[in-house]
Amino acid sequence: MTTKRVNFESVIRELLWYLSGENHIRNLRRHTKIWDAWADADGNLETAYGHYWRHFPSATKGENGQWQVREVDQIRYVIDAIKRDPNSRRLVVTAWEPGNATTSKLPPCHYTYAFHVINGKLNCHLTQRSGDIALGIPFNLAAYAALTQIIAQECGLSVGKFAHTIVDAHIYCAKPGSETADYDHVEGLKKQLTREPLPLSRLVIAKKPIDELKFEDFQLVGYQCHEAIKFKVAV
Amino acid sequence: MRDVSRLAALMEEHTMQVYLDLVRTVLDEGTFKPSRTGIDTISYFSRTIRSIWRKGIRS
Repeated sequence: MTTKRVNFESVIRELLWYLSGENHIRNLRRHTKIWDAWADADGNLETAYGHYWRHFPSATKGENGQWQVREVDQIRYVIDAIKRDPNSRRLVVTAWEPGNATTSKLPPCHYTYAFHVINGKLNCHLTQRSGDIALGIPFNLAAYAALTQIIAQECGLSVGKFAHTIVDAHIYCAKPGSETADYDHVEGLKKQLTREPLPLSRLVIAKKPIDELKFEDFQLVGYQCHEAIKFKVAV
Repeated sequence: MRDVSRLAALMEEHTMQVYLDLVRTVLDEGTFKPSRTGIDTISYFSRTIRSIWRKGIRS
């Protein structure tokens, strides 16, 4: 994202937090405040993407008629599946748990993604139910680019294409002088539209097993950007 | 398929443009829609953006 500064550290810290599978932000919040508004005082979240990525509850009915739940590590599943059969069309990760969605303060926005391998390249298709164009989407673009590169490196592939479907793509707006005026994103985005894109940066990630990656293993080379634009988040 | 590689080159130059086009589409063609947060939005139904990563991730 070159037409405004995006906080690279927050993007990578959040992604590593997803990959940790944690359902709280007690570690994440030491590095970035981006999730604080949705957590309780103890740092617990009703819906944590990474927890579903790594520990999705899968229920099957046993012979005694009782439901039995086991956890599915979907990241491990896609990595193993890509290595075993790159032609697989089942390389899907989902963070949408219907039971959780009925009760959560914030069910997942970017709720499912599928990988696709062709000619040694890893493509990623992300689907998002709701996308805040000014604040959320630039973050999501950067995070899934990094995630795809991590999975590609783990599987000995290079990165290919990215497709991203946003069902409700929205821009927050408010009349100047109104009570909610501070939350308007339209003026900031209009300013961003006038800026010339700059040459793109390159992400270098240490070649390590996925569960050993730390923030220091990510290096953004040659990041040039226009200055940050202040967008206030609607909670 | 020479157009495909030309397209890839174009996309690389304009990955940022993909995002700016999305901003423009929602601003120009979106519809007023109130939201759960109490802040109103300009909303556009279903948009898919695509980009090509060449020589590693560039974004």
